[in-house]
Amino acid sequence: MQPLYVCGFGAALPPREAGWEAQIPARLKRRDPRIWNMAYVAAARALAKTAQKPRSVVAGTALGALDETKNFLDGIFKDGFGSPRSFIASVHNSMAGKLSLEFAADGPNLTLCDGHNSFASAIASAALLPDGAFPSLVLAVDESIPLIREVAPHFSGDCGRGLSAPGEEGAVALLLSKAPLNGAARVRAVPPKPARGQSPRESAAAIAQSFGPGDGAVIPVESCTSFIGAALAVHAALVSGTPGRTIVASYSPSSAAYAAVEIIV
Amino acid sequence: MGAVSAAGEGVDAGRDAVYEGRDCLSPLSIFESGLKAAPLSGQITGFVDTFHSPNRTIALACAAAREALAPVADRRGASIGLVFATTVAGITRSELFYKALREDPSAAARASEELAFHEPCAAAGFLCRAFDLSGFYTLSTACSTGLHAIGMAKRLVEAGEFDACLAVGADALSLLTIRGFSSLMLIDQTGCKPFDRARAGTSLGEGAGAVLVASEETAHRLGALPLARVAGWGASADCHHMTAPHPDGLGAKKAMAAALAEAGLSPADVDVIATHGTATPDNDRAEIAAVKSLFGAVPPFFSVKRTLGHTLAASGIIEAVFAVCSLRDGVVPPTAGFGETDTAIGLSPSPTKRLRLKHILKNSFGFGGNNASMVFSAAQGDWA
Repeated sequence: MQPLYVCGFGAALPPREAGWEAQIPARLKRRDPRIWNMAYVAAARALAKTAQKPRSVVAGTALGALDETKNFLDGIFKDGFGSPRSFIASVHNSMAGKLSLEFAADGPNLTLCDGHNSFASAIASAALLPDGAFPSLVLAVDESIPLIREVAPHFSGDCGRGLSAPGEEGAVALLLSKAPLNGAARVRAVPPKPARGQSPRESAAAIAQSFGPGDGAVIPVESCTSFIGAALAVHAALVSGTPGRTIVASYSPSSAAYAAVEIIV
Repeated sequence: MGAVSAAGEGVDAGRDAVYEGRDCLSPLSIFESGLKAAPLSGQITGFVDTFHSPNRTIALACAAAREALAPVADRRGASIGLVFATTVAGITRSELFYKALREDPSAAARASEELAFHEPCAAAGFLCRAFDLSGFYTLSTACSTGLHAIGMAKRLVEAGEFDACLAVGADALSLLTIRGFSSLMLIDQTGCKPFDRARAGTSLGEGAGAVLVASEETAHRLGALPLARVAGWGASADCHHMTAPHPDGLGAKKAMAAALAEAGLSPADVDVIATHGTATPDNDRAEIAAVKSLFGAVPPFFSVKRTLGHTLAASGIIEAVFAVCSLRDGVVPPTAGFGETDTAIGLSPSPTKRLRLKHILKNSFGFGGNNASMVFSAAQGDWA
């Protein structure tokens, strides 16, 4: 669990910010899916206050471009023909690919799909990249669409927690350095581990210990029921700037696994 | 190693088909595609699921993982991790459910059961429980995913995160992918012809591959015979277009160069290239342009897409399995489907050759301009 240092951070959170779309260039706003736009705005904000450019992109997403996947299937079922643009966007790594294009990040380009644990997976994966892949743009992005909200009431038990995230959509991006930076916040992550019969609360307590001893708040899985919940908590810690250590635990019902991110400001 | 594909269940069945240059494609029949003609595809029709899996992707993944772990008779407390590669994950079931939901909203009552394994990580979690694995990552970078998964497994073992790491790639044929590639006019209904002058698109397939990565010491401790060394992983992005490769293959060249650099090798050290070789006009041309630019004198190369079909996220691992077989057996396989040299490419894939092989380079490229390359070297002791 190698720590990475935060050179910049940003977010696009439509439920919390009515004007988030103002930063989308017209050419992207006109033709790109909304989830690509959310990823773009978060990334642009993470890069806004630094001269550094990302050399790699590592994205975490649970369901990817869900709306475009639905649009493509609607085309087949309704008209007998799916839009090629929707198909291209439906691929889980389309957001990371789009960011590599927009920000000329020509190094490794990875997308992790670990449900609620996707942000932890993305950070842990970035830590595995070679030195030449840094700074690395690491993000969490997911969207909530009406279809999910329509079927969510029919979910039960774990499945309901795994797939329903109404209102909690958006993107959070971090620009991370492998080389230590004086005064910079640092993050580490434990990738998904099977729960093995532990309750989510027990899992959160166990995983907090894997970062080693130290003071600080442990934000348990109950606070991270959105796909981007862990990323939101990390972003909140960075925005507050209050010195200290926070461990954000997450749990993915779909995979019955837990993960965690440690942020030290 | 483990593999299940249109060529059959098990590494040996696939290896034999690859060495013979067999055409294992057949008209798509496992579901109704809605296309005018059923495209030739690498479908698995005789596969028997012994795992009672929730969906086809998981069933394929379990078959490959089971074979790869078979040589490990006693784990002796070793932690084994997982990097799972997929693109479609549970969509094979979700798309049918969504169709039913469109026709009858009351189908929503089944949402919990039908969508429980939709997410890619649901398959990874299932594998983790089925094979008692210690932790996992779920990777999805389109058609390059499988090779990246092996690369991540390599890094995780090197970093000491796990004693050994299983890289598993699995994708089932689905309406979404068949119709998606068709909408982009990237499917050759009559079967793909890699590097051929008349190539007109790829052929999709389904399957799963698995590779257990460990240090040599751990492999011996587990009682597993090292089959090859994962010598170098290269990853890059084209930064050119969301689906079309850079015409000069700049991203592909960068990935190959990075893999060679990590392996401590020069292009002249590579004995054979297991190409991505999808048989789309642009991809084959760009890949060979990149190879020419990096290698100068191009070593023998081949593609197995006509034998197995393009198995998307699984392809990098399935094809890596057979690349390692080639390395060990000293066989450069033929390229099924190839007939006539394309002057725009200027090179032809190799006919069957028997050579002493020390290093093989494997390529996998995907949507989003996503490139992966990997060097496999003969296991120590196989090359004196």
